Amino acid sequence: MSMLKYILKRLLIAIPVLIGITLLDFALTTLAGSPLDALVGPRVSEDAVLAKEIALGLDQPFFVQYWIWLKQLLVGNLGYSVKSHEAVADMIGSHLGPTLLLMGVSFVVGLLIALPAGIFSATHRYTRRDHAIVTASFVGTSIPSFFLSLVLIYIFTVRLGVLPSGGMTTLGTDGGFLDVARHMVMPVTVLAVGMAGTNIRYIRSAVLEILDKDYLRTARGKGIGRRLVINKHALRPALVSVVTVFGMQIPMLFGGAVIVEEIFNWPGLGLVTMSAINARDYPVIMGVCLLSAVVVLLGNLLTDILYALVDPTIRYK
Amino acid sequence: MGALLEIRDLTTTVKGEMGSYDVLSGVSFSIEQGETVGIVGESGCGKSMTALSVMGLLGKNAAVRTGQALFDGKDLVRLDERELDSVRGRMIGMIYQDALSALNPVFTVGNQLTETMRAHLDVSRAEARARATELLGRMGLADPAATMKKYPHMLSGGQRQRVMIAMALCCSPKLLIADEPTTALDVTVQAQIMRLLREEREASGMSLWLISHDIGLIAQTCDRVLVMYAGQIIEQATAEELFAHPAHPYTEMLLRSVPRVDGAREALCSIAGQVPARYGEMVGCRFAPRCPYACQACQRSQEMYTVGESHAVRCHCAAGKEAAV
Repeated sequence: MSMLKYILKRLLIAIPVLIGITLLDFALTTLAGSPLDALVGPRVSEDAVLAKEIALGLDQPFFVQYWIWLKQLLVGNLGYSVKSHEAVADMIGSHLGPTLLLMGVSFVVGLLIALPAGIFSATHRYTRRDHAIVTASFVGTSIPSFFLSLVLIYIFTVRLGVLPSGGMTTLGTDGGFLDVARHMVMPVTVLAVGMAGTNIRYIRSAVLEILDKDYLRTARGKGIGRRLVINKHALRPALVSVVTVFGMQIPMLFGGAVIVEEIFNWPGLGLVTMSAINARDYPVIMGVCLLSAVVVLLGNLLTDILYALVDPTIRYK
Repeated sequence: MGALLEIRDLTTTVKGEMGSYDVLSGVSFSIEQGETVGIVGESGCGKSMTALSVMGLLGKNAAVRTGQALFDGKDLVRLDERELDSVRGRMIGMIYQDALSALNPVFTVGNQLTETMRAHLDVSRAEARARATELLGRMGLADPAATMKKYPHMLSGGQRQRVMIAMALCCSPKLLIADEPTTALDVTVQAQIMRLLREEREASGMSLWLISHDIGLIAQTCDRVLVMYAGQIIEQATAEELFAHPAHPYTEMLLRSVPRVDGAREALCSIAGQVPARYGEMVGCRFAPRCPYACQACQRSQEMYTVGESHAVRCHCAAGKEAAV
């Protein structure tokens, strides 16, 4: 079976899962209470509430409501924010970019730290430098992101005054690459440190396992040089087991970004989510929930595809 | 002209949980240009260790303690990794017992074949591929171009071993080390692989160092045979001489443990017991605990006695018998 068919099949399998997610998403929000409760007050007559209920279709049975919502979803209508009356789709659209930027850069930076450190650690097992790297990665994993964020802000903004404490661009300017980059240094550091901490240990143990393999001895016996032996013959098979972990980290990063975005006032989805939750802005919460679910699904799909790419022994079934 | 490979007094130590011990004790022999030399012995007696010591492929817990391995005037034991890399793959090719675990599962056959050529020879990518394809054809693989694109798990055991041999031969080495090249294969494929090795050796004039526990295989292939036991060479002779007049009791018993197609029907013999653990610390003859002829004099450590033209044995008893005749 070809790769393309495999991807297509994976996508088809994702559809029923997605439908299940929409059902849950809708049910949970409905359970949280009727939006009409917020309308009730001394100056609103019962008739008016009833009229509104009929106008909004809330008198219909659950599945009819769900069906109407689903149909609207398919044409890209996620509803309107209760607070700002903006279309939810537009709100998500305009905040998705900064989140993806922050996530993507953090992911890459995390990998750029973890890969060489993990390989070095494995090839120098039980040396002092290996212990140092393992200890550092342990610290990186254990340190809470909000704490590290505050420490960084204290040092670089409050004490040294070299980096902005929040936002994506300096107010009053139109940003530009360098300005955005300066604003990204601290949030990216926080996210990348956490990721690298975990990944160093995954990569180290994956490479260690490969170092004992017969085919590594074969590679050494071919006289192709240490660099090829480690960076090709050891790393590539090690990636097979590590790729799965990377895939699972994409949704994790998505969730972790909420806190970091909040602290650094990053105009991403995290900020939208937090303010929506605080304001009980259900349509927005539903939209973000749905998006997160889609991200998890895509992350899994990406993992499966990457897995098939790096490991030729798996069959596309 | 001197020997192509001369191993002198090679002693290799393994660090274990209960301290270190010698797995090779003073191994000395040489391989001439174009010669086929076989090492035979039970598993765990140090055959592979000898090859790995020479190739600098010992694991982290093993190291050569003393001795030399002179190849082309260079002592391989003293070379650093970088210097070794100009010899390994280029001048000495090696094939391993289990081709499935010895080939990297995530790279194609073509990739693993050409990288050796690209590292040692001044060839372009296309040239290397062309040569590799041709070589695979010579190894008897039916569709070499298709095999180039395959991964090791897609090949049969025999095909994988042919690929391994191609990998070892791709830079036309002067010495090919074959460590149990056919143990993992069934009998018919075994015969094909051995014929291929013999043909390649004759065509190129390289030397072949064959390691096997199969004394019949060694008999068919080798000019000269070394019998190894517990980290020592205990007998060496030309193949004809060794099989006609085995001197060491161990060799004799090894030969009697193989069924013969021709000649008299003798009862097959099995050697009771096994290779002792931590044999490096033994005093006296290391085979004595299992030897039916063991006597008081076997408590002394044994040296190699010459018992004929290019025939030597590490047994005072056998040496005495020969001298008496």
